[in-house]
Amino acid sequence: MKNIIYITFLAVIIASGCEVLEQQPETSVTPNVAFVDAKGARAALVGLYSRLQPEDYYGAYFQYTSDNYADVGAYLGFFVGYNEVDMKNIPSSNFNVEYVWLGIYEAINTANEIIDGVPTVEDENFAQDERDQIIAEARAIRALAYLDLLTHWGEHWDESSLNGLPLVTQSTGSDFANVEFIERSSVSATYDLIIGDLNQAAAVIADSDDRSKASLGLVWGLLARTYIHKKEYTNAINAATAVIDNPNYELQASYGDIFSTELTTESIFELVYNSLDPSNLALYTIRRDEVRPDPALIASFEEGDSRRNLIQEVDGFVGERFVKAEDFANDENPAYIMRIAELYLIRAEARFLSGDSNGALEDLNAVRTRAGLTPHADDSDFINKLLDEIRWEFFGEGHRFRSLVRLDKAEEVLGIEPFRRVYPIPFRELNIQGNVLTQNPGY
Amino acid sequence: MKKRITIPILVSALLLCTSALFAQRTVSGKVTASSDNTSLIGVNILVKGTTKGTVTDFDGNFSIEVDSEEDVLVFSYTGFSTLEVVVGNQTQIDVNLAESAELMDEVVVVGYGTQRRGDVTTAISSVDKEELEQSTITSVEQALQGRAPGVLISSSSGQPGAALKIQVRGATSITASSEPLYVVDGIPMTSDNNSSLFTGGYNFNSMADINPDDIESVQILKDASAAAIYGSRGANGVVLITTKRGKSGKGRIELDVYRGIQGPADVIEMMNSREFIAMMDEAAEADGLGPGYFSTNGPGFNRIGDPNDPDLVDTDWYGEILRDDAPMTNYNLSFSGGNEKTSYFVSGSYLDQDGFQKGTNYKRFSGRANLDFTVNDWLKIGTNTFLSRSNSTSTIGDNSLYGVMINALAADPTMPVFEEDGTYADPFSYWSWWAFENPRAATDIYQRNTFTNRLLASFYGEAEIVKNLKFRTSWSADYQYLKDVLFYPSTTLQAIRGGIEGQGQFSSSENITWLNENTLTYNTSFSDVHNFTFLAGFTMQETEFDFSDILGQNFANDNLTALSLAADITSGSTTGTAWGLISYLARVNYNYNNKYYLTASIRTDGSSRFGSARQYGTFPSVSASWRLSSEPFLSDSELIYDLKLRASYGQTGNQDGINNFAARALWTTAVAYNGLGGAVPSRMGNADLGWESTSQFDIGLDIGLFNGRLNFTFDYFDKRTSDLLLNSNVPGYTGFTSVTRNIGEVRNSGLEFSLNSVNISTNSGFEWRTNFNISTIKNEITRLEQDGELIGTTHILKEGYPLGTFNLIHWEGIDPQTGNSIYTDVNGDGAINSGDAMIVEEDGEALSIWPDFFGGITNSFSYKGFEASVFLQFSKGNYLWNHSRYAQEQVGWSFDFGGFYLPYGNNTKRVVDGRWKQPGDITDIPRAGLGHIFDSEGNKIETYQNWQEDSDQWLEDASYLRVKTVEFAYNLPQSLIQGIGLANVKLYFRGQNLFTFTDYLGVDPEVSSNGESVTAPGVDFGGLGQAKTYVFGFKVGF
Repeated sequence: MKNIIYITFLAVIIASGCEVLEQQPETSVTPNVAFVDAKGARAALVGLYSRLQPEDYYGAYFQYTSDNYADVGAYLGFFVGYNEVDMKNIPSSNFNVEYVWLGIYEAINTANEIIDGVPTVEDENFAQDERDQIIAEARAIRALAYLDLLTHWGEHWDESSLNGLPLVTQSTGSDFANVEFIERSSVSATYDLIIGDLNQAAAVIADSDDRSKASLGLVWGLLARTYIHKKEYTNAINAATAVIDNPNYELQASYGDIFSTELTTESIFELVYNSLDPSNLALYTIRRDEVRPDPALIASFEEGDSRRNLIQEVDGFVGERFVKAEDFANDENPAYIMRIAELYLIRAEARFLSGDSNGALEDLNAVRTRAGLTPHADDSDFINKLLDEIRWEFFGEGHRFRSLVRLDKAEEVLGIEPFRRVYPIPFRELNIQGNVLTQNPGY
Repeated sequence: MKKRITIPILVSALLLCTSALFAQRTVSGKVTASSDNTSLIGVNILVKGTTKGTVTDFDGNFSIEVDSEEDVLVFSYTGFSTLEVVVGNQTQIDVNLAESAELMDEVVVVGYGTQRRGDVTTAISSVDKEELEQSTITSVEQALQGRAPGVLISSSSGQPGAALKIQVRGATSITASSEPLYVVDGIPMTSDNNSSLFTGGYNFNSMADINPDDIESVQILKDASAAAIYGSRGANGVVLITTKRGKSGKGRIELDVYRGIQGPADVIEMMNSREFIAMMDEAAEADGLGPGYFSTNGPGFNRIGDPNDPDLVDTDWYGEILRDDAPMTNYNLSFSGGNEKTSYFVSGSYLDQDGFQKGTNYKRFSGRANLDFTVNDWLKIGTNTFLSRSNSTSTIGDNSLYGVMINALAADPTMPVFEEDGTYADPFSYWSWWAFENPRAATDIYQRNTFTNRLLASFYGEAEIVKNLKFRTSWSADYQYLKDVLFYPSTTLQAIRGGIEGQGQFSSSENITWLNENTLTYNTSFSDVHNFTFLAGFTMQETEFDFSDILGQNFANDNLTALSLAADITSGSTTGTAWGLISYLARVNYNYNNKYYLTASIRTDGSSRFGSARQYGTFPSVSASWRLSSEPFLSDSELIYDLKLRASYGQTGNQDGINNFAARALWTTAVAYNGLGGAVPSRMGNADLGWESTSQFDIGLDIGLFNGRLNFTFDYFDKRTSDLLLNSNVPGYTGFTSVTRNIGEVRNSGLEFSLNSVNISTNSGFEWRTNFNISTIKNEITRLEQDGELIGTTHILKEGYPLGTFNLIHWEGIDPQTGNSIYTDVNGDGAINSGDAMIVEEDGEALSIWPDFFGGITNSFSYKGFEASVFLQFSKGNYLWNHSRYAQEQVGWSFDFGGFYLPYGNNTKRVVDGRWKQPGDITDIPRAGLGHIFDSEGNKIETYQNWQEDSDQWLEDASYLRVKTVEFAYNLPQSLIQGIGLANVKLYFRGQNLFTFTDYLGVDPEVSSNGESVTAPGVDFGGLGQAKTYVFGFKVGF
């Protein structure tokens, strides 16, 4: 009798035990569940925008690292990652460079999953138009991300260079078994991928005035940004003109309004943050005494430039600060990824370099006069005038460094050796067994 | 599965049927103790060579049936010498048992059972009640430090309730846990930190939930054979904690009360205001700004103050935040007793401990009831129930921007604590760049409390199915509910500089583990000399963890802190996770005539954390020992009392410390953009993920001399961990940073030696005992896929080097001609930065946290009622990176705030006299300098840096010898107390952490600002250090 009791008892225990090994996470799903229906695909697209938001990318490091490396920002803290950038001597072990590299590729991977995953969704209520739009937005973001990488790690000024980027364009299903070691593609192959994505997106994407996400305006704007780096001036002029002529966008009359009002007509793509989903843009510039305006930047402004007002003292803090991101309490500061002013300056550069000085001057002065300065009367020393305008217009937005490199002024202005026109490939990448990436020459 | 367990049951049922009846005779008698003739209850009596036995009853009486006059009765009792008596024609046998000093008769708890010390074939260290009672401890692990060979323990913070770092025979894993498994009365306990508060440096200690006064003994299973029965969880050693249980006999009431005070064991001496200003002036002058730049250049921005001003503010910041008289009180009351059928141990305790850093406190209430019942001749049941509630009050953590110790590191001495209007002085209005918060404001107004409710409960039943075949089942639960409540009012600089009116946080976590264990044990002997114990079992457990967190800001009132009053809730989330384990285990112990011993065990575990392909892992072990002293050639030796050679080899596993879903590819839905919820890939999956496994070889020797008065134990171990669970880097272009894989190998090897000696024992009652232990440990990474992976800017993982190897910019010293620092430009690029970091070696050995040797020595003396003991603890050859000094030894370095120069911070006193002053000075402290060189017009023409944060300038030998505990006690004579109904009264005085002999410049060579980190250990950044404690107490037995 006793034994029967034991056996029954044990049988009950053992039968109930099998489920112990079957555990499920509460806030995550497996990849096959991600694209199970239209709702999942839409969530993945929202996820893609959220991948631009972290501190590693547009939440602080991308812009501030680039600007501090140039003559825009200065660093007053003790974090080695920023300090080395500020000293203009970036070793491959530098943290900021590693974080930004990883952050951008996280966005690219999410875009790859969407581009490959959306066509596989079996949901009859998921219309083809919506699928095409989602994929087009993902392509636009992938192009943005690859161009950000190329203009900081690749020899973007030299189309014959083999030092482009490792290009991943397909879903891995987040499975380690699918990881392959790849080499860097050439600069021209990298440009081809970016332009291919943008052209495919341009054919489908909606011409929307929702500036918080990718739209036709962003796609043309990115094409202009790509062509100006590629030195294809006619294409750059055409692409920039397509955005400038788009009625969704116009230069704000007041420069300050761009940053005090959300999603103005100035913005082509403005990455939105709110207090539940905050950015770290004001953390480094205001709350902590770290990323500060370079005294040389402050000194360089001309009298009466309204853009100078976006560098100010803040109550309770010593010294002048960048205040484009001024909400240091709730951190609801957007990242300005593309503004219409950039397209004017791109077109100015393209027109000047293709011989249209008058057109160039007109575009440059459009941005200049908006800031309350008198227009330039002639095109003498035009490139330096343009670079000054980029410095004043886009401080804190991460455009000055790549513009200096593109216009072959980085060594002269920043006093760096030629090989430092690109960041080093992070040490962690090169140290991975099986890696076939090569370091940028000189590092 | 069902089959495996029913078979032994059926087999035993058969055995039951075959046992025959035969003619018998009854012998009875009484067992007493030879010292005082009191009855001994529960003495085991066995007919030698059979499995027939009984135990004495409440009055020490027994009766047993014997078959013949040749039968021998074996009387054995814990703490007494075993006695054998030939029955002969006696029917009444009264026995007097002598107390023994022999260690070998001591009962030690092993996994899923107990063994006589003498039968143990594996490496087990024990710490008993007496040793626990010699220290003032609030959590049990504190008592193990320096007492158990091979167990390396360090105390990372002086915050009351902070966790310790414990490594049994080294560190085995990079990503997974290297902490041992804690098992309390058979229940594996959660020892994780479940608080969500950022502490920066220490973890909240879940082990501190247990009342150390309830503990009877602690055994540490170190080698593979001992730990293998815990299979999947034994790779880092197992700490078995056994709580007190009732013994049959007269009920006992015990009251233990102590009170004491605590203060910092050491405080860093900082410059006073005068010295600070003088150094700054010297720095400015040396760099070309002329004399008196910071003192007489007034009243401009650069004027810190006049060193000759009698009203010059001079704040001793450490003095402001630390106290020498932090009180500590502990009450413990217990009841224990029982009869043949039941026994009980019931206790209650209360601890109230202020930390020596102002603003910290730890309180704990606890209660325990351990009950055992003998239901009938085949069934025993029992229960253990433990409940506690604790509240850990802390300030803003050790290593955070607004933290207390961090801000005090280099705070400006010319800043007052309070302004004249009574508000806290704002460091941004004073003269150091360093401080972000007034250190006193940090202790006073940043409020944080962590409340923990803990329930450990278990129920067991043990049935003797047939003679010597026991089935035991137990069900237990470890439940922890933890709640963090944080409030930083609007007056904190964190709020002011964050532009908010106060900040609050409420987090809670619930962690519940249930565990079911079922074992069958069978003892048998053949032909008098072949003794077997078989064990088979099945266990399963599941842990569920739920967590919620709410953050709010902007409060109307600084006194009402409920989050419902926050104008803005900035975040709110709930999440949960779970894991489970199923295990099958078996063990056989065999001994031949107490001479040759063999133990073999095997355990198979399945874990929900691994991919289905490799979900199960099997961990076998074998150990053998040979008691040479039982051989004829030694059995008559006067000198050698016990001599035993042991060897073991086996495997154990590890799955702790990795993500519960580490094997699976996942998308997280915890992301949002522009008010919409999204989903992104969050984890790279690896279906091949399986167990980390550790193979360990151990050889040991136990020697007992002079009738067991002098005992030595030696062990050598070689522990190799392979298939390391490692968050291994993957190329960034995959969109992931790492994937959990089984990669790499780590080896730990070492020697352990311990000695227990009764040096002197006189007839007059004087006794002097010494316990000594010393261990070596060599830790080495033997294989890595990504050799040379950098861990932050200070450590590296590299083959051939230990875990936690420092990788720093090399500081060559001070140029005696210029007084400037010289660094090695490894890559020759003309700049000194993280690209120049290198492994720091001395005599071909990498400098790391691993000591060459460590251990402890206790000398205890007793004479009549007096007792005294001194416990020293030491560690040699361990290095610590004193990150604090980079803040405290800037020697004038200043920030250029656009034309004015703001000193980085105050410096330590050693800089005053020790800094370079003139050509030819040989010193390790550079000259005073602002870091900028000026021309005669005062224009900056050059910058330089005499310190590098991530350099070995701050790496120090942290060897130490510590007077850990000194105790004096007096037991009142029986004659005095018997009349008033007391059984015993002991008065005691104890001092803890009284002196530390060390060259280390920080406060405590044990601190760790990276908590229990294995890959980046040995960092001291504003570490609090341990308390120096004096307590006075009494213990009364009724």
